[in-house]
Amino acid sequence: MRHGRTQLIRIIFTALLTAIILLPIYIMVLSSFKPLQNTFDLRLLPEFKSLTIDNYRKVLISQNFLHYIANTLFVATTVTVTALFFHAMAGYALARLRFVGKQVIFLWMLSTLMVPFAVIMIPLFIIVRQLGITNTLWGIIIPMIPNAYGIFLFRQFFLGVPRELEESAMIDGLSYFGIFFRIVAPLSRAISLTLAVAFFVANWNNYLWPLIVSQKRSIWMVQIAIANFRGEHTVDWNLILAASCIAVVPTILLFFLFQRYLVEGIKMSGIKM
Amino acid sequence: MNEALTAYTMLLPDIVGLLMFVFLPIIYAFYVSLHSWNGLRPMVYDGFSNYSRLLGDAGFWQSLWTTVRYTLMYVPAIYLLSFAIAVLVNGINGTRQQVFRTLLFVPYSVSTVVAALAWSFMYNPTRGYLNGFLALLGIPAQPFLASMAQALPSIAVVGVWLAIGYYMVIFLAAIKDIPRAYFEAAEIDGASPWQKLIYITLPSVRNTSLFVVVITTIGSFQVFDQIQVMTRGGPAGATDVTVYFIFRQAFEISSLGYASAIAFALFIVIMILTLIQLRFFGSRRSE
Repeated sequence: MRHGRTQLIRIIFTALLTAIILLPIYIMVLSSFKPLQNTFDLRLLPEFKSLTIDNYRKVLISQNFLHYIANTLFVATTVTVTALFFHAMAGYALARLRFVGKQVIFLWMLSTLMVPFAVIMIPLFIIVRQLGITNTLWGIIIPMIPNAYGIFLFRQFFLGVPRELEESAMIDGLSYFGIFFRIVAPLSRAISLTLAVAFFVANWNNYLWPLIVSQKRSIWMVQIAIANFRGEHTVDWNLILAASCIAVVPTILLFFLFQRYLVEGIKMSGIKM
Repeated sequence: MNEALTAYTMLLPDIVGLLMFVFLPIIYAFYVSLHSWNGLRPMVYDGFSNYSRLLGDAGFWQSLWTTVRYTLMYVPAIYLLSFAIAVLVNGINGTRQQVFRTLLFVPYSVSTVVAALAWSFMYNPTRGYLNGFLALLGIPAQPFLASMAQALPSIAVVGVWLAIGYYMVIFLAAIKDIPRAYFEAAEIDGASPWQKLIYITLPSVRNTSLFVVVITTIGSFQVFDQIQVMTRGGPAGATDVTVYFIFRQAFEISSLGYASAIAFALFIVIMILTLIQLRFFGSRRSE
């Protein structure tokens, strides 16, 4: 009986805490449905009639927001797909194939994880300018593809896959590429999904790098556009919050749908350091 | 194709990528830091003068100190709160635990820009929600981001709010890895819940704690998005952290050589800090 009561107290306490932690999101969503003159009406449960979808209409139609969403979708998807392909191949080679310099290459790749982005942002900008791709979406995309963390996770995953499958495929005369594409890649669905969500969300939410590369409005990403709403429309909180809600939908959705994979990924990166 | 050749082919795209966009940039950053350069005219070799300028630049030291203060707020808060919440959630039985874990993880999926804006909205000094709540409690209105004293803590709150669910999941996984037998043995010896927490749970998650402290420290030294969106370093430089300082030197003042020198100094500071932390926690672990 005593145990049941502590459990109940624990649940009530955690529920309260969760409510407090989620309150900013609730306030953001609620306020995004309020007309401008009511933005600072602080009641948490206003009459339903007073809410409106006008802010969303305005953001999507007059602010060109759909264009920024399209840019961001293109960037995040391209980085994710390319990165998964490259890192899976690299991870497989490092886990399975024998070649000279394997350890050196692996350690060199890992060492790049120590480099903070802020330290290389200036040279990156210069390199991208040299390549002539500033003010294009490719300038945002290409430098975001290499990622030793992805290579490392794929390598760890492939090390755990039993060799027997590949050995029988080799006896059947499949090349190494054939084994990778037909046998190994299909096995790595879970790890690929984990990394896909992580890469997509990281690029969807990225701010500093797109801020540096995109001087032109036409290649703005969602986060840049939202941050700029503030300067241009001094106090249009209703528009800022509606745009913020739109920007958050894909990432929250992905996290809910693939939660199981993400938690696995977090455990892998967090514990097996 | 033979095995080695296949391997090199498979590695090639990532080797080229890492070389061009991580490895060479770090060398190039050092090279640029030895020059005076505005990004347009040719670079002029300047030796270590950017570094000596840095040592005497009060703005740089101020920004580093602001960064350290941010770290001292952010890292302990994340550590204590995410561990405490993980312990709390771990004690909840059945599917309810998953529900809470999922809900508490939600802020992590919000982008820093959006979180910074949502919190700025709530921090509004005259009409915002937070002062509304404080008024209910009988506390006078606070200036938050408009005050030199409160701006940095107010920004740290946003970072903590964003990341707490992520580190909670990491701690939760570590706590679940502790063998049940430890707790059972302690219960037989009549240990209280607090004793179990301090003598079993806490030491058992030491590796995870180290990971969390190192990662959050590295992260906090690079804080930028919130600053740029919420205060732009203000009021009166109160939130001018080092990365924001570098950003302005490089992309507003076009002082690329000097900015690179600061960036390189930051790199060294982060490396030293990480090594100290690994040593400090790591040596105790191996005893």
